[in-house]
Amino acid sequence: MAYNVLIVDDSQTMRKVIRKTVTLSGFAMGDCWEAGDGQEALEVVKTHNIDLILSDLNMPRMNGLEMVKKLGEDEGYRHIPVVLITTDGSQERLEEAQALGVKGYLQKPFHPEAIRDLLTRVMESSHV
Amino acid sequence: MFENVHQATRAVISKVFETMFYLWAEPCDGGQEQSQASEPPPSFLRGEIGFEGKFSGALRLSLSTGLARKMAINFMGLEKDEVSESQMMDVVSETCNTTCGNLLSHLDKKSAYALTPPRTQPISAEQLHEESQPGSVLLHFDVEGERLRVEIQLES
Repeated sequence: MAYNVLIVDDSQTMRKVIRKTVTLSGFAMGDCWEAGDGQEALEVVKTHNIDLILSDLNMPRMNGLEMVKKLGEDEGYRHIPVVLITTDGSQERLEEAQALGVKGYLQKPFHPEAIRDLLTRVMESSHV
Repeated sequence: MFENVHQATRAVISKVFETMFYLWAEPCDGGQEQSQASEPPPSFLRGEIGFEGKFSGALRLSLSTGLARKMAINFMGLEKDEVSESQMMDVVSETCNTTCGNLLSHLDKKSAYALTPPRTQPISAEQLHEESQPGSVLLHFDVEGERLRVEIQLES
């Protein structure tokens, strides 16, 4: 089974790199969409069939955690697992993310195997 | 405190450059690089990001465009002639972001920090070697023959 993925990051370069890394990692990725911030991501989610969201934390307009909050408020989208890919490795931020229902948390920099293992684990647990 | 910052910065720069770019960063002194007379004069970039929390301040990375190009090639999987200036600047900004986040986690695992959006701009050779700000920690690295200057400015 291949999963449709939405990559959310304000850096176009990072979006490209994450897309390439996920592709090369061997994770079963189907279609892939990109958004530049949380607000744009919510629009993509409304119009496409998204199975998994990979999101940065710090972004203009709407950050990653605000986006997760908004998704959680909507019954139609709260089932979509969100994985945060961020430079912030603090306990405080991790706990905040977990409390909001974030399914995975990956600190940059990371190796491709780390992203494949995390995404596979998240998708398996989402389909239990 | 400053010694902790020195040690943490060495560890973080080494990890970031190895993991993101497959490049080895070794601490070195701040001497100027020797350039060949026949080569064009090098140009430089400086990336900067601010942080606010238990510690506040800014982190600056200064490097040649030659090094920024190598980083972009390895990070994005591009050919040498495919790299644009904006991609190099994006990669330097992302390096500031990743270095700063990891450095703060090293120094203070518990607390969250607010980071400003990183920005990168061209600088002159004179700006590259200018004095560091008061209260700053300054380190230099040799990244496979190219110099990287790292400055962490801490506000009291």
